[in-house]
Amino acid sequence: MTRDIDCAWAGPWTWVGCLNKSSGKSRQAQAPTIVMFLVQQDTDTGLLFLFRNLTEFLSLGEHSSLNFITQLMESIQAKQGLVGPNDPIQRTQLPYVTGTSVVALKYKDGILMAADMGGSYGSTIRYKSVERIKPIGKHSLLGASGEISDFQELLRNLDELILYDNMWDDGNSLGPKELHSYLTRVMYNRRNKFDPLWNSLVLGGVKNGQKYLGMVSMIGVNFEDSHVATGFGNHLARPILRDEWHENLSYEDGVKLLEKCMRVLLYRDRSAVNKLQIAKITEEGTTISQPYALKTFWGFTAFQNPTAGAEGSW
Amino acid sequence: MLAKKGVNLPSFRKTGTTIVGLIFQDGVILGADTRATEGPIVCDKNCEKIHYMAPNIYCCGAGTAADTEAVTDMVSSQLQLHRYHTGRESRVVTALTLLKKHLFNYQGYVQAALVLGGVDCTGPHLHTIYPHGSTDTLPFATMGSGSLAAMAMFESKYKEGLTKDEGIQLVVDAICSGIFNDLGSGSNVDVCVITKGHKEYLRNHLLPNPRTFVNAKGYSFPKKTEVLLTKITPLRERVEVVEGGDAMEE
Repeated sequence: MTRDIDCAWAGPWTWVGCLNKSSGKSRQAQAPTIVMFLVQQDTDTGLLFLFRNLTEFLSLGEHSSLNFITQLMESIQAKQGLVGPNDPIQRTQLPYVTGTSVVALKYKDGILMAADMGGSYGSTIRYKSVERIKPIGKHSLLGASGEISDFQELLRNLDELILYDNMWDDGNSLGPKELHSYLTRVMYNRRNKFDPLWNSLVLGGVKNGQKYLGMVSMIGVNFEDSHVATGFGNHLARPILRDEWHENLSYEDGVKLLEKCMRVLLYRDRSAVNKLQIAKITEEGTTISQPYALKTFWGFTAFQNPTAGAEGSW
Repeated sequence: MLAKKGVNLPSFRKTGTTIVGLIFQDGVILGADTRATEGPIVCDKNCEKIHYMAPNIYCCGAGTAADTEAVTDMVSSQLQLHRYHTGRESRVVTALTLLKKHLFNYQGYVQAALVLGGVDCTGPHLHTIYPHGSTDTLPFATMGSGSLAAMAMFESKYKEGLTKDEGIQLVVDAICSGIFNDLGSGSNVDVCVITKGHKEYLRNHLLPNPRTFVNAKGYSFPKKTEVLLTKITPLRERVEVVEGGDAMEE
């Protein structure tokens, strides 16, 4: 049986394919059978998806379907604008509007996560009401630091993922472990294409009584831990968490510990703003608090009069 | 030229460090870790980073070890001469001004970041001095690569009017936070407490990194060369030394 496959570019990441199924016996006698199909390439994972009635392909038989796929790949590659290794990078590589640290910890009933609401544009604090913690599905919370637009793009991806998950309607739902795995794959594959999503993500959730807290960085480094921090929180909040976190923290103790970390970040991180949200996730569900401000103390006598006894110095 | 062949210049011996200071109700407490690094290698496990400036003034140093040693040594001698000249106890601001003048003069090339603390007739003082010569006067200060970890401790736990024990505990907490959370700091904790008319230099106040696994049986090495005979011959005087010889000719 001869097989003729050709593809035409139909849009970004999309091809229209045409398969001419004709048996070799008597081409003239039989009317040629043309099968049209749509091929879409997933932007993140690179997989090819064929959209067509399955029976048309099933009739191809095993041996010839492999042949078919090979010819399909070849015809696509011939049409694809491949980027060579020495071509200039075609996507932007700098973060513009960025969020600062996210701090999260496991407590007795679930996960607590805190992030301030600032979006800095370089050295100015441009946006002061950016929600950097969002609930995903029924079982997880996602907090992000880094480029805000990349975070919003991720939220769209996850929306689609959760939608498809809900459409299965099988009583099962994506839990925090699965989402963490998905995010790791996305971040890692993007960095391999030199087009990273410039974020450090914190994913926390509770499913079937199991608490889960994990982190993914923009290069795809991922791990799971009892307490995590991104950005400046790595240097300022981690020592405090390592010292004072313990199993089975109560809700009040957990919030106090998070506030302690956020207060130190507020004092010592230049891109922090005094407006934060604390999010809680337990088996029952998610709550994200209203934005509020931390109390700060500036009343040291040394600050009031720093050069007492040493006039002329500063 | 050699660098192209892969031979790198040896990196400078740095004190990738955590140094802290705080003012408590009676005076000043300084603290430091004890690790000195040469690139990725720990070259000194137990070095001294709290340098003597005057009987009532001590200075912790971070940055290039040679620079901190040399600059604190030099200013310490200058202070000594000044004490002889004036007949008075040195003041912390004097040390501060001498240090910042020197560092500014060298435009940051003398890479010494210092925490200077002491108690003089005008009261307790704590200053930080940066390699380019700028200074700050603070109630609590941290410097070095572990400064963020130590500052996290200070910002969450410091309050005015600490007692001596509370102050020492807070300094130890801050240095330990640097030792365990920063790769450039490690080994032991040194503390120095300075009050009016009295100082306590607690070298190796805390040793949180002991050598954990030591062979309980000890080590016995196989016998090498056998000793056949031991004979001791004391030295004998060959020349008579006459005391009170002629004075050296000018």
